[in-house]
This record gives sequence, structure tokens and C-alpha cells, in this order.
Amino acid sequence: MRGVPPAKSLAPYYADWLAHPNYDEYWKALSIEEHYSQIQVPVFNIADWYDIFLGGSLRNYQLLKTNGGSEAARKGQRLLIGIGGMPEARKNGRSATWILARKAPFDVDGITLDWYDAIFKGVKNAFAAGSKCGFL
Amino acid sequence: MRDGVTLRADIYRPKADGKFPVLLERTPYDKSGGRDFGMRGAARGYVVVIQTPAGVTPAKASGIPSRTNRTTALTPWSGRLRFLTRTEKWECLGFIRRRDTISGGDRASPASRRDRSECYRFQLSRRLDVPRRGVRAVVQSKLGFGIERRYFAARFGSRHNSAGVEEDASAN
Repeated sequence: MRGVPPAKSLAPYYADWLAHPNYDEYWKALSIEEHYSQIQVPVFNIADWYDIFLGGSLRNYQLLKTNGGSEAARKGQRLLIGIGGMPEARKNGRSATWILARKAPFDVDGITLDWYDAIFKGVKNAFAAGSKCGFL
Repeated sequence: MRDGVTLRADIYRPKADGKFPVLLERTPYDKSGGRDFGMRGAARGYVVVIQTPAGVTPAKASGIPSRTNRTTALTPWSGRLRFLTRTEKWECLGFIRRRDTISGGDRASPASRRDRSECYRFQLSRRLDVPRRGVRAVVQSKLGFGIERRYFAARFGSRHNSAGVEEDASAN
């Protein structure tokens, strides 16, 4: 570590983290769970089955459904869980999620545009008629 | 932005006159990664703006201010202090670019929220001539731990079908 500047000058926020070991006002100000009531618009949540953030996505969906800041936010949101996820430790250069995603391609861009088509253009696609949760 | 920081964006729009719904994506990653989505969105009649938040793209040698322009950082995933490669730095800065940001919390950073608000009010409404009619929808991907992989907000202009796609890199 010789020659490397002290951590405080490189990443001063790290010192802030250490100064707040508990879930106090510092963390509450940054947590979405304290701000669901400020979300006023429909949200399309996209997650992956083998993603490390899946739990958070499910929790956001559930809590926004009850705590959203408007009727549109509470009832208009959608949840889509696709296959795959963030790459984890790999063996032989390939991860399990990479292999799964290859076998079941997930056109997230196309689905996202379908969502906007339904919202902005009134297109009668799967979002207009389908269920609020989808799984691939 | 009002504080002099330059935010860079790629803009994709239909090759047609008129006003179109605008999709704004703020990504902590390389904005060129949104090219496919931008082209497809424009083909469907949207103006797509792919923007990097402050700190993701290093400041130019000309001295354009950037909120973060570090060559070293504390890697958040390991907690180890070391020098980063250029690619790693960009990736890392998407997570820990500011003192008041924890983990890529674009929406969690007061500065970033202010930037986003200014984009709505000034950049979109003036440069793209989109009326100020409010955000209508949001897409959040992998929101769970505060890492905002993709954030879209859309404003609504008049409805037109696209006659083609125009890619505009003039916004840096």
C-alpha cells in the first residue's frame, strides 16, 4: 500500500459509512423504502431469477403496491422476472446464469418499449391486457 | 447544469418532423451501451436520450468540470484499496462517485436528483422542444440494493409515427 494516498482522501464517503453502522437518518435518506409515497407514476420492475437483487425487486413491487403515492403507482405497476442474472463466480469461463440466458433469450429492450407503447400510445399489447406479474 | 458540470448524452430520434415522447435513460455504465435501445426506440417513434450521470465520464483535458475525476477508488465489492484500470474506474465510479452517494444510488444522491430534475426542466423542454407535462412512467431494473442499472423516465409530446431513425451524437 506504499505510495497509495490515505482512504479518506480517495473515498471520503467510506468514512461516512463507517460512521453510521446502524440504520439511522443517514441511511434512511438514501433508502427507497422510506420514499415509496413519493412515487406517483406506474413502475415497470424488471428482475432476474438468478440475480442477487431479486429479493429487493420483489420487495419493491410488494411495498409500492401498498405504499405508492398515487393510484397509478399502486395499481399501474408491473413486475417481470426473467431468466439469468448478474454473473457470479465462474467455472471454466461460463456461469450457470450465462448458460441459462443463452438458452432463453430475454429481449428486455423490446419488452420495455412495449411497456411504453401501452402507456403512451394506448397500444393493446400484453401490458394492456396481461397480468401484473410475468415470468420468463 | 447550473453548477457548470457537463452531463453527456447520446440522442436518438425519429427522422421526422414533430414532437415525440421522450425516454430518458440515466446509466452508470457506458452510454454507448444504450445504442441498440436508442435505435429501436427511435424506430418506434420515441426520442431516446441515453445520459451518463455526473462522474461517470472523466472530465476532458480541457478542464470541463466533473463531479468526480479520480484515478483511484476504493472498490466497493472488495473494500480493498488499489489503483483501478480505466474500465474499472468507470464501472466503479458508477457506484461510488460522490461523497453523498452510497451504492450507485443515482436517485439517492442530492446532486444527481438535482441533475435529473434540471434535465427534465431545461434540456428536454428547451432543446428537444418537449412540453413540460410531467413524468408519466418509470422503468426500474434491478432496483433492489440501490443499484440503478437502468432508469427511464418519459415525457409526453404529441404522437407521431416515425419515418426512420436519426442518431444524434452532437450532445456529446
